[in-house]
Amino acid sequence: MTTVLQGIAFADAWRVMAPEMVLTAAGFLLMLIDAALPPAAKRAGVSTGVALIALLVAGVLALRRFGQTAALGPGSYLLDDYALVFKLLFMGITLLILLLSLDDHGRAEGARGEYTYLLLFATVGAMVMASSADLVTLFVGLEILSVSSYVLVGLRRSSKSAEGAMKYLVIGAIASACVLFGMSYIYGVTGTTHLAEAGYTLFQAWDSYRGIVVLGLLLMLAGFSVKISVVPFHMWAPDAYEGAPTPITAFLAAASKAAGFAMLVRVFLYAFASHFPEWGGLWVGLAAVTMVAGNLLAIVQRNVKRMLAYSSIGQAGYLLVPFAVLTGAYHGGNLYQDMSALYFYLAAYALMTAGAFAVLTVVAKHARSEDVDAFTGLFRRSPLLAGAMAVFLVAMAGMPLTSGFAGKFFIALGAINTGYYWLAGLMFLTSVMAFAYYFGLVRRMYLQEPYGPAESWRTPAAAALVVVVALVGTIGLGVAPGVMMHSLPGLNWFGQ
Amino acid sequence: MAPIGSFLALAAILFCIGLYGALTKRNIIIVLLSIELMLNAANLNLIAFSRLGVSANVAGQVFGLFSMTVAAAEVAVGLAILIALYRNRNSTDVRDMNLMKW
Amino acid sequence: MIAYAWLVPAIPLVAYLLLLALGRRVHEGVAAAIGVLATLISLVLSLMIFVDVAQGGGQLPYLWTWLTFGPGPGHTWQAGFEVNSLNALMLVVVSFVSTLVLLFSRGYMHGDPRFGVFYQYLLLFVFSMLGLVISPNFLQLYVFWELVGLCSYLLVGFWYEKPEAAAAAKKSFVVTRLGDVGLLAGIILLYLATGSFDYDDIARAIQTGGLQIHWIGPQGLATLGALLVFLGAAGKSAQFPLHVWLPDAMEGPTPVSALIHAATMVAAGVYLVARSFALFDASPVALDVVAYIGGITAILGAAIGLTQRDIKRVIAYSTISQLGYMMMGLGVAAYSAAVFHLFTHAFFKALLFLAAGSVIHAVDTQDLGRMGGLWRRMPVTASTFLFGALALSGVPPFAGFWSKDEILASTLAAGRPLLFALGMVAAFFTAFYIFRVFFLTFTGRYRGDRVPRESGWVMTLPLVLLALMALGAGWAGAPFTGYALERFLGEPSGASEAGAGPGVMAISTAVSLLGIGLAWLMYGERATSPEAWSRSLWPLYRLSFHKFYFDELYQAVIVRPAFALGKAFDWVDRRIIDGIVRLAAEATLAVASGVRRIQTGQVQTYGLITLLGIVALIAVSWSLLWGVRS
Repeated sequence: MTTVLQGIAFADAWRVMAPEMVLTAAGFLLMLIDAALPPAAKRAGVSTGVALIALLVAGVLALRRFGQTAALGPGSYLLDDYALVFKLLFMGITLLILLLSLDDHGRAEGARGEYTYLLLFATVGAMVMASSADLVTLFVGLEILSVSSYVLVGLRRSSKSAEGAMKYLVIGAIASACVLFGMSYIYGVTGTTHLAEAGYTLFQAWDSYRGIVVLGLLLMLAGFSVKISVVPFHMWAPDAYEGAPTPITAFLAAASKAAGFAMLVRVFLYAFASHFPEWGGLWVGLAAVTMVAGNLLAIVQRNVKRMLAYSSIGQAGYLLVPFAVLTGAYHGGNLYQDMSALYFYLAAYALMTAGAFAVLTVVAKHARSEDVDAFTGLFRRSPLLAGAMAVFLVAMAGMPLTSGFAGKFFIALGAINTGYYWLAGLMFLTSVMAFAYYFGLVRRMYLQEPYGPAESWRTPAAAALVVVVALVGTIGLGVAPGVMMHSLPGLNWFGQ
Repeated sequence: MAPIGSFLALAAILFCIGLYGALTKRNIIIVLLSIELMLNAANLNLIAFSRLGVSANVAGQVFGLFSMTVAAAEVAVGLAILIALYRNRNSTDVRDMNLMKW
Repeated sequence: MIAYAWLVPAIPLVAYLLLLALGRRVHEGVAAAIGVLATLISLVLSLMIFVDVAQGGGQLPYLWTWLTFGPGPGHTWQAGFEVNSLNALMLVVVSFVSTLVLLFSRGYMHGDPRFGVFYQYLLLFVFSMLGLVISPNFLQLYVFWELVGLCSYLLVGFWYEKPEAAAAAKKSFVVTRLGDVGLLAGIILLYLATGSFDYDDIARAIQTGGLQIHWIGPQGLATLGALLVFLGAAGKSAQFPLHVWLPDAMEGPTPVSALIHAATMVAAGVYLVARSFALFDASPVALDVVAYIGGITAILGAAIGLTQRDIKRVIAYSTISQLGYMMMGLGVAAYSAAVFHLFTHAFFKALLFLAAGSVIHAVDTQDLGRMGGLWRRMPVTASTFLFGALALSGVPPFAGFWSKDEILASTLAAGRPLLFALGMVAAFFTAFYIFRVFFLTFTGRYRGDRVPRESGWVMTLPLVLLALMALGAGWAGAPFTGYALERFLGEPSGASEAGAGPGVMAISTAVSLLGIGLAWLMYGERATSPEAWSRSLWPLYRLSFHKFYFDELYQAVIVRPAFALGKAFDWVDRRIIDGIVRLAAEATLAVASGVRRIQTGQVQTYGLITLLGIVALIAVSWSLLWGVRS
């Protein structure tokens, strides 16, 4: 028996979107389990186990597709290496986040089934965004991710959590409306929702409908910028990050942002690249403002979660640089080099973010506070946590021999190669600013005595695993960046 | 048949009204409704283009269907969060959401 | 086996990490067992590699790309390892001496509260030194070069609670850093000129005249590059005028002196010059500098060694002097003779230090005036020390004789009679000072107060093994084995070699015996009083005893002005630079505190700012797309 979906054979769909299908099925399965199981069994982390297995299966399926290209429909849903590397990144992050949500006894935090399956759905949304080459699927993917995220942010039983979710929802929905409105203009001018065709038609429509095209693209750009929290579209981020359960904050900072970049690159480089040389300055300006504002505002925070939120805004600025350089490359930027730099930094950033939030999760649980004071004297309480946190922090600031330095180095190199010396200089300057506030925290952890009794803090095994994985990745990518950096340009990025 | 320009103008006006409402109304329910208005303005655009556009085709209507579904989901989640918020805060005023700032 | 050469340094590293994981409180026996076992495995692997190289000759380096930051070979940095005859020999020497020293330390460091830490440092050093030796390019070598320097610093200052040890550690680090700066500058210069860190690439670029940098010609570049590299080598190998740190480094535990400051790390400078010999060969000026610096160091070290009263300091100056010989050999293009001397010296100098360590362990002093008559009480230590002393003096058939003679013969063959004369006088001094130590320590009456006892087997076994090497290691390059070692090493192009003829052999043997005889007359037989000699030659005696006042000179000429300058800069730094920095920091904070007020917590403000962002985007693109054109 062959199942046929709207003229698409199941076999073809499986070939292109097997990981998404596995995760979606697992998500629905978990919904059923959640309804059927008694609370005691729920608490035993059954759903987390199912989700982990699904992620591993999906990961293996994705790995086996490398080097292949295929498309669903008239090329509206693509399978190429570009989509695959991002999908692997999303699944890896989700895996770490799920582990992080387990407590000392391997039990799921709060014993909420929806937590697990919404996380899976959010991951699927991110994956759809990476694969989409059609405005419709792109929008649907974006909304799957966003709507799941709104709920996830609001899952904590606290006033802050609901407030963060509401703020995220209001700004996120306005952004979605902007994206949709922009997309409607692009569709109207080109008569197609398919990205590659639209890009081609846009080339012809450019002269007669320039105003409406620009407006449409800008509205889309603004909507995407909200997702990746580019200044000045970042306002929701600190509040939503602070309100969310800490693992979800890590998910938003790492996976959601990476998905935004996947989409941004797909739309503005893959489809509409030819229209962008004139706009190089726009991107460069956004990157610069984001770097400066994110790092500047992080300095004055006393809540570590909020500080990391601002810092992740600053990191988005660094991530925009290779993109800006590529779109505005009058001197011929190297697409594969800069894409590799972007992806390298995304992966490095995801690892250190996951690690830092993992440490924060454990510390906040013990200290019942996310204030910087909770970190005071952490070295005496848990040398592992203090050491790991120090590594993640200096990696975010860009200390040599950590992945943060290697990533910034490649990004700055791309900027220098295309003549944006001042941008590289600004990266260095904001990095110095970052050192200022990160070192304050490191000093607090190592050189000051803890407040209250100096009992040692246990780290749950699953969280310790996340910390160690992130630590190994952060140092490994810093010592031998070549391992990853050399395999990336060899990929068949967009299936050319 | 009315020219496409008037449909587009109506959509733009609706979008702006929605945006204005979302940014000024005090009641969260009205804010959510205003956002609905923005999404529907976009839908109007899509439908207009799919009927009267430069190269009119059915894709716009399909897109419109998808976006209506998405909008429904968004509002449902919005109301759910609003209920959670109301339980905590006993208020549906946007201005009361000020625990986190700076 | 050569493909697995990376295991040789990797195993001590694993052992180091293991000890690190076990922590400070690890049982002494466990720490020593792990350490000795690791170095022993390295030794076995090194020997297997050595045999492979002897059978199969050289191999291409094993490289992988570490970092690419642009197109073209100049933007790719590689890491890896290489094995050739020179570093195969070095691997064997380093791992052999390391094994014995780690075994010896089990006895020598017994009871030290930081025993485990000592073994950690030693293993880290062994890893770094082996890594240095198999590095395929300058960049990687530099990394390990600094690592061995760090280990030396940690180990010299191991007893950091002694102020002298802390000061000595600092001094050794600072002085060698001075050389390292030169080395780094040299590496960067060569990289700029050739686009490569690889020894062979650079050699090829020199031979084809491919050295290019606009402000200096190819010849000048080769000279400058070679001299900068030599500056690094001189710092590490304690060559004049950077030799002052090595005697002070004797504040470290004696096994450290034997391993780092006699056999291995200080030889790294010689190794570096030998490895980049093609670079030096391209510049006659640089070769001459190496030769004369080597000659001066040889005679200077020997002359200071004549009068020192501390047993370890005498041997330290002897090390300086012998390293001078090696440099002199390289300077007259006697490549394999210099490496040969490095090889034999490693054994007999490690032996002398370890034997001295055994003595110090027994009598608990380093003052020659409080020893004496130990021959009866410590027969194994005494007889092995004698072997080392004979080898150092160059008495046939001991190891030092063959290698030293070859260097001396090469100076003559290269037409440098002055260097030959310096070498001969230094040889005379050498024989005298080492037998002065021997007679003062082992013959006559015991002048100390603690009852000395022979050390245990963990300490005497390394002594015996090294004594055998001190006797036999030289035969590898002796005429009657057909200069086997030289043939193994092979000659790089440009090196010239001269076997020592019977004439040179006879003269040098006579000179050594003369020195030994004089020492015997003064300190053994007491036929002539050393005090009378020192009184009649008092200006020379004082010069030697005060080490030619180098420390005082440096103190007055370099250290004091540097401190004064430092104070001045400190003032500028505190008052002006810091002021600016503080102002910038405060301004940043002020701006941040202002900007954060925008984040009011009101979601509608957020939306408004998002809207303003969109408007700004539209305005900017409008001006970009339409404003500029029309």
